[in-house]
Amino acid sequence: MKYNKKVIKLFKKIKNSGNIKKGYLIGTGIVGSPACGDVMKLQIVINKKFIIKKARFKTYGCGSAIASSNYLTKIIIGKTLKQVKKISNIEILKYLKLPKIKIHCSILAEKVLKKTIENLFHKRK
Amino acid sequence: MDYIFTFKKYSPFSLYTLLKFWLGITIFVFPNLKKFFYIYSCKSSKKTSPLCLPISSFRLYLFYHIKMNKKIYFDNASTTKIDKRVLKKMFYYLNNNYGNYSSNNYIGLKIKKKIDKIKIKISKLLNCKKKEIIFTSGATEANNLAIKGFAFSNEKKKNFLTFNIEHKSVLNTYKKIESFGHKVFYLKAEKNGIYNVKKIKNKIKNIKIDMISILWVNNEIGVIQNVKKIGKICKNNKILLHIDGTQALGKINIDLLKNNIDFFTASAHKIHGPQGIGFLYKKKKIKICSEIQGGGQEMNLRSGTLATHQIIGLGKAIEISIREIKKNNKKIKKISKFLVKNLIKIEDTKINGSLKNRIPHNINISFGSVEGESLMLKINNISLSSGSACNSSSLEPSYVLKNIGVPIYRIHNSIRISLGKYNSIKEAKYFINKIKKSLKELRKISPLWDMYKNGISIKKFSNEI
Repeated sequence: MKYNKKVIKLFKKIKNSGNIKKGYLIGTGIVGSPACGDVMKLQIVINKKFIIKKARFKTYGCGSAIASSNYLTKIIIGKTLKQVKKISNIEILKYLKLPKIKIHCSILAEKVLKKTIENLFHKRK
Repeated sequence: MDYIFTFKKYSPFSLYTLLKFWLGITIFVFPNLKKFFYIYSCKSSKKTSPLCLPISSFRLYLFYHIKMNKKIYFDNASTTKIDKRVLKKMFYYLNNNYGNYSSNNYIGLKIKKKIDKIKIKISKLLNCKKKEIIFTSGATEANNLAIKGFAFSNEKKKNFLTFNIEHKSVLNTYKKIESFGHKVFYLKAEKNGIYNVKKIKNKIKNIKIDMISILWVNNEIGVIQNVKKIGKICKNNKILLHIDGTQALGKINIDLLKNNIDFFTASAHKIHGPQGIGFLYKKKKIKICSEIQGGGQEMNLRSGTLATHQIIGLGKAIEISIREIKKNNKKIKKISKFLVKNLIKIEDTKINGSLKNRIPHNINISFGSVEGESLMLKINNISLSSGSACNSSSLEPSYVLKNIGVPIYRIHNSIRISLGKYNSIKEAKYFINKIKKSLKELRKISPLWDMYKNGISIKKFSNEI
């Protein structure tokens, strides 16, 4: 598969991967299945002002899936939850310039984000 | 003023030269400072200083670096590097003899003689007759010609029999034929990838079948089928046997007459020959109709001007591959034994297909909780092939692995290593070191690896989500 240079750069330089164990409020979400070939896991920590302090991902999948989840964590950190809710797959798609068959990778990244935020609110209640 | 400045700059005790010298040594000692060194080298190459000890050390380092980062080709099942002896002959004919095979002038007749000689050579090597060989553009076209040509040779509707792990060029032509009213029966392969002969016998008893298509050596899992037994059954029941030998040629001994084969197809670019040429062997008694109409070349079965240089390349490639079959297999067996021994030691790995009835050229292996395509991206300088969906243009994972019962999450992890005569044990050692490193990195960021370590089975997980 022929990828854009940005995808390969993001695939090779992984920054925010791992697990979070401590924090004020932690939200986790897992999307996808090994049968489809892509699984994404995202964890975020917010402080009392609803600003995302930390974001860690773990991805099993092709190069574009790893790159898009890596890019997602890059965008998220330092933003409020209101700002983050507006992020859609188109933003990731435009930056990475993924080929047509790989659009589902960017959609998966959006789904993970929504699921983690849902999880956060669920915990708060 | 300028002169003095430059003199000072390059004098042995100036700051500039000292810096250069020490930089060179430090980078020679610590090769991890790659990036910094590249920038440094660009600057130093433009200005030639008299004291260039660091540059020489840099060159040594660069030489070492390039040698380690060389490209390795482990994808010989898809296509192979052309042999130099083949290329030499092809160049000679492209330069000097540019005539047409079917024209009656001096050069044309010369080429006619040469091509006839090649046909005789191939027929002797494969044990058949000269007039039974038809040159095509490749094995795909040859398979199409064999199946469609036989199906449409007369108006009678026919019954065909194949297996579900056949090559696409056979399966898709059968799909096309089915829409014209012919019947095709698909049998299931065993779990190790081998065809069960008893299943064929049972099928033949109930239904009158006209032709059986069989892939001698599978392209994805490298399993060898028992063609000798199937050939005997076909001869006793008067059934035609069509065999796709693209992967078998040059890797196992082939005898067309002894095995009772009626159709045999192969191509040149799998045996270190040129791309875009293949041939179909057809028994003389069988009548088939042509797919391409035109000037009536190749006994009116495949019209179109014969590509002289490619046919010469094909002939030479077949001759070399069959003559050196023992020597090459011995070498490749050594490499594949070394690879399998070391790859199995890695945690959570599994080899797909049977290990017994297999050519040594092929290793199909799946590494747990790492996607095949991402692994290929990680080891960019080694060319491999993957069964995962991400690698191909379609979104479906490999149908061969699916049909022999490999679970779908394992198919996404699979990787095919196919060896050739130009590979060496040094490359295999380098490959194993590299794959261990990249597996560690990818498993670090994989959520499935955490589950595997915590004892959660991935099978259950795939059902839940």
